[in-house]
Amino acid sequence: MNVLIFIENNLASSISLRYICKQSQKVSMFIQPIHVEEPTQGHFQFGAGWVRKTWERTLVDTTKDEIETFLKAEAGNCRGLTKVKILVGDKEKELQKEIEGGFYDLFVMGHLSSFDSSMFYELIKGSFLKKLSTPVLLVKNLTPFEKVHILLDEYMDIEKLIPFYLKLYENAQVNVSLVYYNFSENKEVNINDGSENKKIQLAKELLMDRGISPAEILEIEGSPEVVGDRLKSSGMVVSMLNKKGRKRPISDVLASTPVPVLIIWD
Amino acid sequence: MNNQQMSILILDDEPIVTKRLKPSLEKKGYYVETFTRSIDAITRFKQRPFDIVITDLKMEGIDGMEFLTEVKEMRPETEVIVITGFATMDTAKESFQKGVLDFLAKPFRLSEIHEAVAKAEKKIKEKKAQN
Amino acid sequence: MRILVAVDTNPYSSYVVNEVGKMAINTWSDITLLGILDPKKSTGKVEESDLAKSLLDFREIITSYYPKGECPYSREEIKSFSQIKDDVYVATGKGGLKTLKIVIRKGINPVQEILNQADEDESTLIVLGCNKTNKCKWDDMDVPSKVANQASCSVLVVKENKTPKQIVCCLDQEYITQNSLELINQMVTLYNAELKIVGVAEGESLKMRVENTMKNLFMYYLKQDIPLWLEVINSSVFPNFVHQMSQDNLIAIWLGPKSFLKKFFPDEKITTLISDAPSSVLLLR
Repeated sequence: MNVLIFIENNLASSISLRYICKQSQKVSMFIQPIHVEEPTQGHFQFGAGWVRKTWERTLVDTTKDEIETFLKAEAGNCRGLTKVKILVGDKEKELQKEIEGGFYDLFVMGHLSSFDSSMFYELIKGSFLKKLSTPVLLVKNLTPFEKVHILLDEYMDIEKLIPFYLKLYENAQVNVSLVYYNFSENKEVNINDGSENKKIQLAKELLMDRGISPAEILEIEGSPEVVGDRLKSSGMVVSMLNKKGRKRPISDVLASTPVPVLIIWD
Repeated sequence: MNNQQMSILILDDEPIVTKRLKPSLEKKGYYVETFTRSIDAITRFKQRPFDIVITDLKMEGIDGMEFLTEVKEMRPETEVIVITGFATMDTAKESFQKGVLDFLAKPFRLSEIHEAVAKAEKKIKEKKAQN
Repeated sequence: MRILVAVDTNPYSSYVVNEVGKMAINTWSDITLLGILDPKKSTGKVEESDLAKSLLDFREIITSYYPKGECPYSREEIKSFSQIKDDVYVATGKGGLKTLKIVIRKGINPVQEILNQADEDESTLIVLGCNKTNKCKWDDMDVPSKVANQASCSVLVVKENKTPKQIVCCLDQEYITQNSLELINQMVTLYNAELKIVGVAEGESLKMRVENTMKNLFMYYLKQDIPLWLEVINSSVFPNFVHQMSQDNLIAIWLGPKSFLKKFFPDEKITTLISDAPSSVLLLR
C-alpha cells in the first residue's frame, strides 16, 4: 500500500505518524511523509525567477532539518517510512498535486479528537478533502491496531466499500467486525446480531469470500455520541461517506468516535 | 563520607524524582547516590553496600520489585523504602512480604521521605547496637 | 501520600470514608479524619459528641478494608482524645506502620479549620463529601466549594459511591506539577479508569502552550505505557463539556493561581461546578 502522510511539527502529526508506523507492522506499506511549508506574507517580495527559487531552496533546507528531526524523534524505527518530501506553497494545492501525481492508495493525517463535531465537519466539508478521491485516514488518537470496525448504514454501497477496504487491508492481521448503525436519539443502545439485515449479510459474504471471518457482527441503534463512544475499543473505524448529498447520522458517529477513522468516498 | 554517615541509594526512572530527593537528603547529612536505570543501580549495589534503598516500583522496561528482591537477597540488613506512582493493594502487600520497611505512594511530601528514612536509620542503629 | 478527610455527621461523609478506604488499601496513605465542632453548640466533653462517635466509626470502616494482620494502621481501641492545643483534640492508636489519626477542631469557621489542618499536616489531598441534591452544602454552608477554592493542595469532592469510567483531566497551559500527575496516576490505578487529557482551544487552534503541554503528557504516558485519550474542545463549549463529562466520569481540573482555565472557572464557577456536577470533582494544584 502506498501511503502519503501529512506531517507538521505538532501533536496531531506525532500521533498520526506513530499510528501509521504501528499499522506498518501489520500491513506492508510504503509511507511517504510530506510537509508543506506555507511561505508567510512577504516571502516572495523579492520577485520571481532565480531569486525566488533560491529563497524557496533556503526555506526547504531549513524546514527539512526541523521535520527530519521530528520524524527521527517520533518514528525512528518505522517500517516502510521513507525520506520526507518538503514542498513550499499553498498547503492544499501542493498536497492535491502530490496525491494526484503520486499513485497513493491512502492519505493519512492527524486530526485530534474533539468534543464538538464542528472541527470534524470543517475538515470533511472543506475544499481540500472535497477534491480528494483517495481514502483518508484521520488519526484522532494513538490506539492499538488490533481491531477494525467497518461501520455500515442503509445508504451505503457495500459492494464498493468492502472491496475498497480489502484492497488496502486484506492481509492485515487484525480482527474485523461489522457494525450496522441505526440512528436514534436514545442514550441507551439497542443491539442485535444483524442476522436479518441484508446489508450486513452482504458485507459478511464479501469478507468471507476473501477468507476473513468477522470477529463480531452487530446492528446497533442509539445516539451517534453513544455509539461513537462504544467504538472506542476499535483500532480503526472504516466507513463510507458521500461528499455530496445530505449529512447522514453515520457521519456524526465518525465525528464523535475518538478512534482513527478511515473514510472511503462514495 | 564518614564512618557514621548513612548511605542511601535512590532508584527512580524519572529524573525529576531523584533530583528532588538527593539534595534534600544530603542536607540531612546522608550520603546519596541516584540512579534512573535498575541495571546501573544493581551494579553499583554490588560494588558497595548501601544502608538504605529507596526505589520506585514501575519503571520503563524494568521491575522495581525484582530490584528490591535482589537487594534484600544480597544484603538483608539494607532497609528498603518503596515509592510508587501506581499503587495497588497487591504491590503494597508484596512489598511488605519482601521485607520493605515502608511504602509511600506518590505524590509525597519530602517530610514523608525524611520520616521514613529516619525510621530506617533508627532501625539500622538499633540492630547494630544489638550486635 | 497524606490524606486529610474532612467529615461531618451527614450520610455523605460515609461515602467519603468508603472512597478513602479504597484509596488507602492501595496507597497505604497517612490519614487524618477531621471533624469540626461548633463551640457554641458543643459544651460537653469532645469524646461524648456525636461527631467523635462518627469519627470512631469511620476509623473502623477504614481499617475494616484490611484482612486481619495486614492492616497498616493501628487497630487499638481509642478511649480518649488528648487536647494538643487550644480547641484541637487528637486520638490515635498505638503502633501501626502508617498513621490514621482522628482530629476534632473546635471552630466557628469549618473552612478555615480544614485549611489549617491541611497546612499543619502538609496534606497532599483533602477529601470531603457532599450531597448532590442540596447544592453540595454542609448545613447551608458552602464548605466543599470554599475549601476547593482556597486550599493550597489538591481537593477531591466526593458526591457518591460511584466508580468513574474515565478520569477526564482538563488542561491548563501552566506548568503541570509532578504532584498533580502522580495524583492522577493513583486515581487511574485506583478506579482502573481510562485517562483522558483535554486541551481547551481558544478560537481556531490549540494555544501553542496547551498543545506543548498535551504533547509532553502524551509522551509521558506513552513512556509509562498507560493508554491515553486526547481530546480538544473549543473554549466556548467548555462549561457544557464539563457538565456532560461529569455525569459518569471524574473531572479533574488543574487550577493554578494564573490558570488559563480560571477564565472559564472563576471561583464562583468552581462553586457551581462542584454543586452541579453529578459525580466527583478533583481540583489539582
